[in-house]
Amino acid sequence: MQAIKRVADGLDWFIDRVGRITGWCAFALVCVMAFNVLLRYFFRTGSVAMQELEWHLMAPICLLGLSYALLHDGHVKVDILYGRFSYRTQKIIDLISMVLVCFVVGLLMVLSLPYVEQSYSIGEKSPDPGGLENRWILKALLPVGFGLLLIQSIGATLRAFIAVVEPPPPPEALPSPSLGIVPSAPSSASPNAGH
Amino acid sequence: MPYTEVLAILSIVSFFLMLAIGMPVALTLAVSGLVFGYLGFGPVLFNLLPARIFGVTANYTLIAIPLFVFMGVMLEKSKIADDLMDVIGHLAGGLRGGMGIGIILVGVLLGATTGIVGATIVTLGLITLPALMRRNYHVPTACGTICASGTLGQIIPPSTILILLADILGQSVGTLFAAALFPGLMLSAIFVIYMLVLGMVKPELVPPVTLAERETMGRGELWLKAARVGLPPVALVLAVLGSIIGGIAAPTEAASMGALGSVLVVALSGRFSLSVLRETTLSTTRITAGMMFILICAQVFALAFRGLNGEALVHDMFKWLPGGINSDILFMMFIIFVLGFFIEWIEISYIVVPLFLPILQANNVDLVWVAALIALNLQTSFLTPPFGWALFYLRSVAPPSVSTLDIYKGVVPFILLQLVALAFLFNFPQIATWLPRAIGW
Repeated sequence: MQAIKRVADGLDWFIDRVGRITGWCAFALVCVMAFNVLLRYFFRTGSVAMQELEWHLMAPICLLGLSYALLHDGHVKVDILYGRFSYRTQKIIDLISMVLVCFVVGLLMVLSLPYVEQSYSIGEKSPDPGGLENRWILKALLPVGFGLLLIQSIGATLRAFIAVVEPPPPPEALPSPSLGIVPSAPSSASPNAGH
Repeated sequence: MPYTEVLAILSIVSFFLMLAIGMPVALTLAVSGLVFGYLGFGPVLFNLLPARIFGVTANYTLIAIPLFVFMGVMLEKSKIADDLMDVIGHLAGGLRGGMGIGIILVGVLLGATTGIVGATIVTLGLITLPALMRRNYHVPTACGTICASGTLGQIIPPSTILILLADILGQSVGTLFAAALFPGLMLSAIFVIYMLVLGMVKPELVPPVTLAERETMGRGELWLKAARVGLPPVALVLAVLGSIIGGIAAPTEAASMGALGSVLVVALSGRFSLSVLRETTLSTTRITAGMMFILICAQVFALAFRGLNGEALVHDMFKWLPGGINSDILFMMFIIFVLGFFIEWIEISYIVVPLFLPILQANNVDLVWVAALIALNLQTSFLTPPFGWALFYLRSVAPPSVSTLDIYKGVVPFILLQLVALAFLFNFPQIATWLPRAIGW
């Protein structure tokens, strides 16, 4: 059991690192966007490549950030019947859910491979003159992002497995009565989570 | 009934079943979509998915979301909420219900500046709830006020709901920002009136702050502080909103300026550091990617549901409905309201709204007005249990002596007030459409 936990910790550590690097894309987006705006309004100039870079930065924030977001904020669940089930039933539902998540994410990853391949084989690039080339790199973020999410989901599945096998914690260690929403996984409500 | 329509209905049923037993919302969407889509079409459907998902992440309109989130999270780091609450608490404290009104006003200002529901409620909950309880405020009323004020950020522009709705309804972001401004302010005014009335009818629920406590800070000092903490962020947001609504800059452009400006505002407040910047980028990534995850899974479901002719199903449903287009809109509002109990605004806007869109278009309904109605309606989804984010955030920071039932009871009047606002907007579309028309969108 300790070994499984160590593996899960390792996977989480990896995803956290990748997420921390990805985070800078958000700042880069702010800078690139602001730079383009200032250039346009003050010098009446700008480049197509820099403008395309704007949404080329959006894709990594979304796709590479997926695993990081789920690592820290967890999956969102609704407590309609869940709260009334026994502890063990809840943990089994969690485990089944996570296994399904692995399947879905793995499927999305595999499905996106031919999509990238096609883009690569036809040498897809920006239709605008002066635009960015090698569109396949951007599209490759789909399988890479889902691959990272798969790694995160495997980690979460391992933890869900441990929770099923291990005896339930003493009652006082259980979280206070939930309020309908159960953020699974390691996170607690953080002030910055939100919409 | 054709085979595919049966599958479409089954996909909805399976979605709610899996949701009810506690499976993650995103997973239930993806699984219902994949399974019933596969039964209906086989692998053809799956081959469309990558392009659809890529389309979501490469959507130009949605770039405004991380930019506005960055601005909000960054401004939040300047502790604007704490300072504002302090000042407004002192200014409004003398009135019965004044503290409540103060919270609502802070909610309006934070809604415009940070606009992040979770952060606003957590901050307001931490600062004001213990203070209100110490002053013998009625606990459910205090909880309800905090939750409702926190959700104002969703209707008061700039807001992520409006950006997503602009994309779905094919309207410009600027138009919807302009359209949501007065409905948002109207809702806030309704909340304030409720507090005033409560102060008159049931003063014991909302006692004023004692004079001795208020006199710890002089008038002049107070106004000075108000100007110092409130002015920079409010000026920034007015500049951003003004340039969008005034048509000077595209929303994404203005948002990037706002994000850059937020760094300056925080630097001015002396709270900027590299770690603040790092935290802000990470929060921005988490919030944006978390939304995108739901959008991606919703895309899987939506693709399958539409492929299975679910749209025709919805269309038929509306044909049974007596009355004209108005009863259709009311019915749509009812469905959105009910769904708000169980799922988030993102799924509702992304899956449900497109299904109604053809009916609205066929009847030449003003989509700007409808967008404002939907945005106002979706705000209730934050307050309705069992799945209301506002309740969840407040629960996470409320003292243990506050029961979950207190929070539930507290939001009920505010949900009703939101329905009142919705009724006003339904009967007087000008509230939403006046400003966009006046500035010539």
